[in-house]
Amino acid sequence: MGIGVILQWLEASALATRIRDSLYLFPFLESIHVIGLALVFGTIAIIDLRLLGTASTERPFKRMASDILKWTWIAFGLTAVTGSLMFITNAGVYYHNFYFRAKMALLVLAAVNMLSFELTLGRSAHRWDKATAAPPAGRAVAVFSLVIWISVIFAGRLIGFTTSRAKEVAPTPADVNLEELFQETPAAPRNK
Amino acid sequence: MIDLRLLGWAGMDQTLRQTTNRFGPWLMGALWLMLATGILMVIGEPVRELMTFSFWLKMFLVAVGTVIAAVFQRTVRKYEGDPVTSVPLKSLAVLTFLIWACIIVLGRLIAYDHIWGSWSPAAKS
Repeated sequence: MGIGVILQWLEASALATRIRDSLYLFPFLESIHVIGLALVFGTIAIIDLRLLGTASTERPFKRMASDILKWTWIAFGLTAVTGSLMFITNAGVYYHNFYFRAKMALLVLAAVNMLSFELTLGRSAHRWDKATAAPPAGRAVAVFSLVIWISVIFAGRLIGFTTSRAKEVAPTPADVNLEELFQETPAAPRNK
Repeated sequence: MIDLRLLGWAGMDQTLRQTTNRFGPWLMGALWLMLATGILMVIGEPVRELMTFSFWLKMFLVAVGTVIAAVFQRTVRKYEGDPVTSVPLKSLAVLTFLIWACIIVLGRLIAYDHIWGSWSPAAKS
């Protein structure tokens, strides 16, 4: 079974059809996705800035990580679920979209970056826990992390601007003459 | 983070004052950044933004959320050293979280203002 068949099957599924046909569901999913990503990026940035020694320097790193990262994962779960639901409504288009692919690649990069930290410096965190900043490798991971996640957000926003669905959903109303709205005396007084 | 601290769900090794000192300036900085980029987007497409119900309801909630945040930051010293926060403060945390969540939803809805039907100014033209 090729990927094309899977994409078609996803698009044709009852769930995808339900979301596509609803006026509210897609914007609702997008909104939850935005709330989730704000929390993901916000909490990750707090940790990264701690590693860099820019903020929260008086708090031990390990305590902060165990305090905050659970919220990162909850929020990431939200974005993953809402993102998948949005994906299946137009799977074929998203799958071939450059920014979608770029975003997925960046997410993989973010995971690799995170794992490289967890498997090395993360394990020896008790040694530099109370230091103002992490060792150089940890600071590098933090910079990469910030750059990658900001890029993920940019790529994500561009998916919406480069897939046809976005154009279909919010068309300029054909019966509204936008020029007219700015004239002091409209040609036809019908806007009341 | 401040809301989570008020609820007692995160940052309990920090006092409320330490939490607001840590996050308050970033909150205000981010708010200014959003105001600046938001104004640029409105200038870019004034009709698309200003002719929507979602935009004006969002602006109202942003004003409410900002006033609450500003008043809270000024009065927080009263609760300094409180390890466990009171029920009114917890309600405030839930309320502000909901306000900012609504702001995000409404921001997204600016692009889908037709869901408001006749409430959308664009629909009346």
